[in-house]
Amino acid sequence: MTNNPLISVMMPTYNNGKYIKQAIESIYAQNYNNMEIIVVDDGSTDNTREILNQYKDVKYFYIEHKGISVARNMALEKSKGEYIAFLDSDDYWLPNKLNTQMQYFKDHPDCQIVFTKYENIFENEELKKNKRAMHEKAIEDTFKQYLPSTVLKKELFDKYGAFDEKFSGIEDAEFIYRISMKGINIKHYIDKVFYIRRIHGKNITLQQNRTIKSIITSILRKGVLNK
Amino acid sequence: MYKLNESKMFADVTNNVAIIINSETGIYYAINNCGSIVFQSILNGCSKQSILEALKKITNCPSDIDQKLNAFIDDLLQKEIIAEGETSDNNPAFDEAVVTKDNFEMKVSEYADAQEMLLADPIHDVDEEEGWQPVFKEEEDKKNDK
Repeated sequence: MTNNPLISVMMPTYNNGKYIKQAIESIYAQNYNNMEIIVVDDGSTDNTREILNQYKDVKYFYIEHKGISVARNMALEKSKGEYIAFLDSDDYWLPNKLNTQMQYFKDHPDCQIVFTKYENIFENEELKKNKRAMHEKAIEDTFKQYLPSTVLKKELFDKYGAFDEKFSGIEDAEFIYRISMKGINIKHYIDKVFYIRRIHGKNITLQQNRTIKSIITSILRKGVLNK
Repeated sequence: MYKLNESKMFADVTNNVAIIINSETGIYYAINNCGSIVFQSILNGCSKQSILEALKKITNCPSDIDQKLNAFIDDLLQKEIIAEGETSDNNPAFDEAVVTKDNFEMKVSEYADAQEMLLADPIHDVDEEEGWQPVFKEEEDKKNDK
C-alpha cells in the first residue's frame, strides 16, 4: 500500500496507434506508485485498441468520434484520483515527472496546478524547417501554461467545471484561461523538461483555423466585458 | 486606405466590440464601442475622409474629431493591427447612439493575460490527414433534434 495520493492519468486518443505505445510506456516508466491510467479512444479506426489490450491495467473506453473535449470529459468522469495528469497519445513523458510534480505540491501547499517545461520534437527534418516549426521552437521557453504538462487537483474541475465541449481543439487552453480568471495561480512551473510534444504534421493550428479563432475572440470578448 | 494586417492579426467585431489577436505574440486588443464601429468601417475599406464626414454628421460631434480619428488610426498602425490597403467606395454609416455613448472616443486596450491560450497550438491526438476537428455542441444538439 502507499500513502501517496492517487493520480489519474488521462489520455484521450484518436488514431494514434503509431505513437501510443511510447506514450503508455512513458507512464509505466514513472517512479510514482499510485496512479490509474484512463484512455478514452475517440473512435479510432486504426490498431489503437489492439495495442492497448496488451496493458491489462489500462482503463480503456471506446466512444464514437466526438472530439477531444468529449474524450477528455469522459476520462474525467471515469477518474478516481485526487490529482489529474494529462498525456496526449502522440506525446510522451520523461522519467520522474510525476514524482517531481507531487513533491512540488508538498513543498507548495497553496499550489493547485503545476506545469513543467515541455519540448517539441519534430517527426522529420522537413517539419523542422517550416515557419510553424520555428514558431513552436521560439515559444518553448516562454509558453509555460501547456495543460498536458500539468498535474492538477481534481477539485479544480469540481469547482470550475469540466472542459467546455464547444471549444474542442482549444479546450485545454480555455480551461486554463477560465481558472486563471477565477484567481487560480497558474504560475507554478517546474523549469525542467518533462513533457515531450510531438509535431507530426497535418494538425489543427491556431494559425490555420478561423473557426477556432472566432471562438477564441468570443471567449476574450466575454472576459473583456467582465473586466 | 487601410486593411487588417492579416499576416499576424485576426479580428472579429461582434456586438460593437472588436477583438484583435496578435497570433505571433499572444497579445490581444479590445476596442471600445465607438472605436469598434469605426474600426469595422476601416476593415470595410472606407476612406479616412468618408469616416470623418460620417462622424461629423453626428449631433454634438467635437471639433477635434479629426485629431481623435488620426490618433486612433495611428494607434492601430503603431500596434500593427492595420496596414496600408486599398480604399473602396463604401461609405460608413454609424449608429449615433453608439458613438455618442462613448463621447466620440476611440480607444484600443491591450491585454497580455491570455497568452497561454493564444499561443497554445491546439494539437493533440489527431488524424494525420484530417486533424482532430472541432465538434461543436450546437451541431450535436441539432443532430440530436433530428
